[in-house]
Amino acid sequence: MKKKVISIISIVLVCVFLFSGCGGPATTGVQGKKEEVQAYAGKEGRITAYISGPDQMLKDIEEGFEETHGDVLDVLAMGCGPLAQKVNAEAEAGNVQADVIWGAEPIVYIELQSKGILQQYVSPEAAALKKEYAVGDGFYTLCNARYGVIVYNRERIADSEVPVSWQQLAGENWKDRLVIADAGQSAMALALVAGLVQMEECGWPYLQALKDNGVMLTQQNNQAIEKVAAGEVDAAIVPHDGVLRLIKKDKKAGIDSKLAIAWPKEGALSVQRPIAIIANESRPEVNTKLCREFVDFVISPAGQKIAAKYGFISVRNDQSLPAGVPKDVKGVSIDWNNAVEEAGELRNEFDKIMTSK
Amino acid sequence: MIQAEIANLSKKYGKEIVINDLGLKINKGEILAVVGPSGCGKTTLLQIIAGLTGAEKGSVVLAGRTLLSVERNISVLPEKRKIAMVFQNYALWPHYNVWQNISYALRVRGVEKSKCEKIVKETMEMVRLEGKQKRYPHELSGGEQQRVALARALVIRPDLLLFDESLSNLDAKMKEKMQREIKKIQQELRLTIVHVTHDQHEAMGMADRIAVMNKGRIEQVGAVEEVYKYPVTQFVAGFIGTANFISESLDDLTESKLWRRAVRAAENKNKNEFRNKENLLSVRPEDVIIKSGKGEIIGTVAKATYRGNAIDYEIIAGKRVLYVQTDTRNLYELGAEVSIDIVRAVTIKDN
Amino acid sequence: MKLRKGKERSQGPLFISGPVILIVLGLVLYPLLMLFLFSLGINLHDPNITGAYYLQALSDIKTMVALKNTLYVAGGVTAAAILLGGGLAWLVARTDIPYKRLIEIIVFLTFTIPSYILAVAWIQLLGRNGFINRLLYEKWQFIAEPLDIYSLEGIILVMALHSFPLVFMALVSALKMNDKTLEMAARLAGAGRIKALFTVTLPLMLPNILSVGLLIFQQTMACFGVAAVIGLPTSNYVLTTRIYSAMSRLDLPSAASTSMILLLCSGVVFCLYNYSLRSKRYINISSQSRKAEPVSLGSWKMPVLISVFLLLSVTTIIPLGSVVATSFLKSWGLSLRFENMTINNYLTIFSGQTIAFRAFFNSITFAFIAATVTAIMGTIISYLSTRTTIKGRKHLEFVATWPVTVPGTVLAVAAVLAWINAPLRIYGTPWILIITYIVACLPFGVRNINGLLQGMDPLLEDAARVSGASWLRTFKDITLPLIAPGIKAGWITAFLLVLREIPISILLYSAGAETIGVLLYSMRSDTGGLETVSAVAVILIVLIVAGNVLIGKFGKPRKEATNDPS
Ligand SMILES: Nc1ncnc2c1ncn2[C@@H]1O[C@H](COP(=O)(O)OP(=O)(O)O)[C@@H](O)[C@H]1O
Ligand SMILES: [Mg+2]
Repeated sequence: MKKKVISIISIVLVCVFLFSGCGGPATTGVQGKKEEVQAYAGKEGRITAYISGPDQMLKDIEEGFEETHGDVLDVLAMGCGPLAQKVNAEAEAGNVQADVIWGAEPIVYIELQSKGILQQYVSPEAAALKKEYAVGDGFYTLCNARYGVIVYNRERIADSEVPVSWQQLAGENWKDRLVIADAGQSAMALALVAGLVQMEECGWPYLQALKDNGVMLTQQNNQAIEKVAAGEVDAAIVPHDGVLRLIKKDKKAGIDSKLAIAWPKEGALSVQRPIAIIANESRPEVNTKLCREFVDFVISPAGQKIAAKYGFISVRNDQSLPAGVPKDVKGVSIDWNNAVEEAGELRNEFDKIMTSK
Repeated sequence: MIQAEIANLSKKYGKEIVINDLGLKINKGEILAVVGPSGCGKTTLLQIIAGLTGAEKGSVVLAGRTLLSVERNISVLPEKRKIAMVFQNYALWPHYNVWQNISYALRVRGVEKSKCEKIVKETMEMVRLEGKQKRYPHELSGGEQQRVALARALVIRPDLLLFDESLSNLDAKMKEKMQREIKKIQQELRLTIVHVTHDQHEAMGMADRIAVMNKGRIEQVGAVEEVYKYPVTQFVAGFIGTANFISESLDDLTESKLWRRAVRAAENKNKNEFRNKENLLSVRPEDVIIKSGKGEIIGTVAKATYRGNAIDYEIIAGKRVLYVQTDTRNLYELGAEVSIDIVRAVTIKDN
Repeated sequence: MKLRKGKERSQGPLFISGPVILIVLGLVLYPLLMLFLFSLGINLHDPNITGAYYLQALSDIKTMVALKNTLYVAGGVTAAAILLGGGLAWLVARTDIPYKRLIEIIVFLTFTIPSYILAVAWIQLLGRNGFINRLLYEKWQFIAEPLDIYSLEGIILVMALHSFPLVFMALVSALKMNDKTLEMAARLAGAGRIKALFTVTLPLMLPNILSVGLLIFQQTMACFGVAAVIGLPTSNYVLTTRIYSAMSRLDLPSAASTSMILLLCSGVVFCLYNYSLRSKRYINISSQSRKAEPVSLGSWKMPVLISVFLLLSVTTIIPLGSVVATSFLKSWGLSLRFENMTINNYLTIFSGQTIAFRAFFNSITFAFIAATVTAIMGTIISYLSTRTTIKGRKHLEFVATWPVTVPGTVLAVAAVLAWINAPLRIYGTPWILIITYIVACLPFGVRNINGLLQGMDPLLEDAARVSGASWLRTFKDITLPLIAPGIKAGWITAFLLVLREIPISILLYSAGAETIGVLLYSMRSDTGGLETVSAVAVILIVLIVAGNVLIGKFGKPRKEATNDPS
């Protein structure tokens, strides 16, 4: 018995030793400003960006930026979810490795800002932003927009039946034909739900109606699109850019895509992709400059053109819409601060509705 | 000359005492049989001797070298003891063939190849396994496996050879044959053997001396005949051969007659010992004489078993059963009345 | 953890126990400890101990429902996988069923299909619009209601089909080693074939069955992919989907505390496992091991063979065929007609602009390192746990197998927390991937080897010791060859797991250290579509099969030599 106790204590001691060994410097960061002790992970004259988005777009962006700056940028590509989780985990450990992050949704950035890991920067290019996108205090910059729309399977929905409004999906003839991503699993889905709930015409009763209509859930938005493409369901509420890319790919392969987008008349839900610089006081001056220049590049006409090629809507007032987006598209803005405040409530309510029998 | 000495050995498994302050001396060049019922600690004893398990107390000395001394914190590794062991289920290595199994101990010791081959060949001849070297254990009969196990132990010409119930899996004929062969090899190689078994016949058939073990202790050690003739405890008398135990009785007439008869026939060194109330008399079946017709003590034949060279009877005498063995010249029917006489008895301690 | 000299069984390997214990503590326990601290609310921003996250999780009915679902699914999967994998293993190892090698290969192939893809294949078959439903329900009206894959039972189905190869691999190696004379003895004693199976073979195999069953149970509890694809559509949540949900809302403490609930369940199951094996001795590997007359199926041979292949076609051939077919589709959702086929998906993958080549190279390298380390550590840990009396050996085994209950994403976050700061800074290098893969695979190594060691007669080793072999020599000459099938199974399992691993890869990879998982994920989440993902999966499967054939080619002659001397 005594031996057992001793061995348990020694195990704990070893662990504590290990923990304090590497948690040490970070723990001091709790008292002081953690930026002061946070070591800089990168090398001088070279910055790292975590970006979510199509691989090819990231390549184009990297090449575009390095054309003028030389080989100074390391891009780590990842999905929106992993991007947020990785940055968050690194932040919890007190040492975010990225210099710039780009992708995911404003909700994530507002939370990261509240954790104090974002650095303020107002780009000179910001002057060219459309008014609705020139928000925030420069802790992050909105640099592209995506529209939450309805994607449907053209083989299963006659032209006459194509939904023209969000409301239509709650109708009886849409029973068991719709899929959306789970707001509890995907931040993008949460953003879309926030948009729908904030919309005057919809609100929670609308989501309840979707549930009563047997709406299916998926973990991610692209899985919702897959289900529509496979003909398992007829329509989904998803961001538009992925659909556009798939349609474009089908076109390239010489086939008539099954997928098509319906733009609801109440307006498509506008969800922006922000870009932000991570706060790190030990970052060398050169690198900070590079970070800023990278942000400038992404919102510059050149950067915006690259993103538009992959279906993303530009935030600038001097750019045209990507191919496949109607000229008269109407976007509905989402109140992000409200969405963040209500995030817990949103998730709970969504969960309650979806798990109700 | 003493080849091995075990002293004050104690071993526990958890709270259970398995070896209890055990002492034993093994003479050079003898076969010592350790007999005892299943679970009395025989295997554990061998494992301690071989170094496969430790002990709480005590020491093991072999050929003048201390192999284990808990008190002096000495424990020689099993591979350094020059002890060989033949296991109960043989423990042949299934992935090695016969040759590989037998030569293993030599190969491990880095014995030069030609010499190794010579010894293995010799040993295989000795145990008559010629021509089987390429076989795998599962392709051998029980007897052959036994021989491989034996050969595997013999190749190093060990200071001490341990058998753990190694013959129990063989049929009676085979067992006898193996006993003779082992005995022959033992004499040829002048081996010292400790042979553990729960089978008294096996022990008596092969051993020079017998050690009777019970509950982790050795109750008696001696030459086979001595242990049979002069058991010191009821356990030994009952375990080695069959015995009728007779104690003084006041309420049963037949019993007290038997007692008096046995006392008269008792031939212990100190005859007065039977006066001690705690002691018993032990009478071997062949020391009970029965005759037909009347006599001082009368019994009835309840069971007869024909053994070829002898007949075993169970005789009801008063309230007890008496085991009797006679030659085959006089036969008694079941139910026949016989008179009983006792010609030899020994006093033993009552456990 | 000290040995009392002279009092205990003499045992050699104590000198390695120190480093191994340190490695296990460092690699496994330390990240989990970090996670535990987070679950208690101890972090940089708010270093106060609080049980709030546990209270919150435990008082939340959602967690309780998810826990119930988790246990239900894990139990169901374990039972189904053991029945399926064990049955097939017995047929292959013990009977004269023909085409054994083919059966083994097909089962092996099942394991190479990434679970996400398997789930999608099953949705194609059993989804609302699926092939089987159309046939049974619409066309033949064979069933009153369409089958619904989107249910807990659906998760069980797909997970069981995904996991049974693990059972198969573990049990085939054990059954081949099993002491057949015992079975024969039972037959001679008058027990029928089936009775002998149930009264002798099965009880003897108990350590192996329980060992791999425990693994499946723990692994299923931690599985996220299938639960998300099959469970979410109809809001059937399990603990991992809840954990992922907490992760996605960046609520690390909640994710950690819910993970701790998983770990706790895992611990309870482990104790039950140990309890059920307590004080019993099962000997499978003894002198009598290997080769005996296989049970003759007699006139049952053909019916059994046909059922086996029908079964395998459902579990493997059809899903695999659907993956291959999809990989040639111009676009996901098109019907399988020749004009819809293309090889462009494969060309895209290796178009030079993607990371594909590097990803395959990296994954194979990492998998090789991780599998090798896993096999070595698994052997040592199993050995310490079954062959020595070192204090805490069972704890060591438990800690080493614990991570199997931690969802990959959580394991990755724990690794970030543990390895990002000096002096143990390996985050951002390929080593963090390798280390985390090792942690994730170690349980499979330990479990595969543990079952075999537990069933191996220690007298075989004792015999070598008294023959004069040192501990090390005994290990090398006797123990190692006899448990080699388990080590091999553990190595292959780990290797395959790493090759198709996604969540750890995407969170921990660094520039230049992309893996197949990263490739799969990025193909899936963006432009590629499912057809490109399938193409990656097909390449992966082809590589694995090719590797296996190569290993088989080189491995065989030696095996034959030891098996058959004449
Ligand atoms: N490894 C062990 N752990 C616990 N108890 C044991 C162990 N080995 C033997 N025993 C116990 O020790 C006693 C003696 O066993 P053993 O030496 O094998 O007896 P024998 O060989 O005389 O039949 C038995 O009661 C047995 O249960
Ligand atoms: Mg024994």
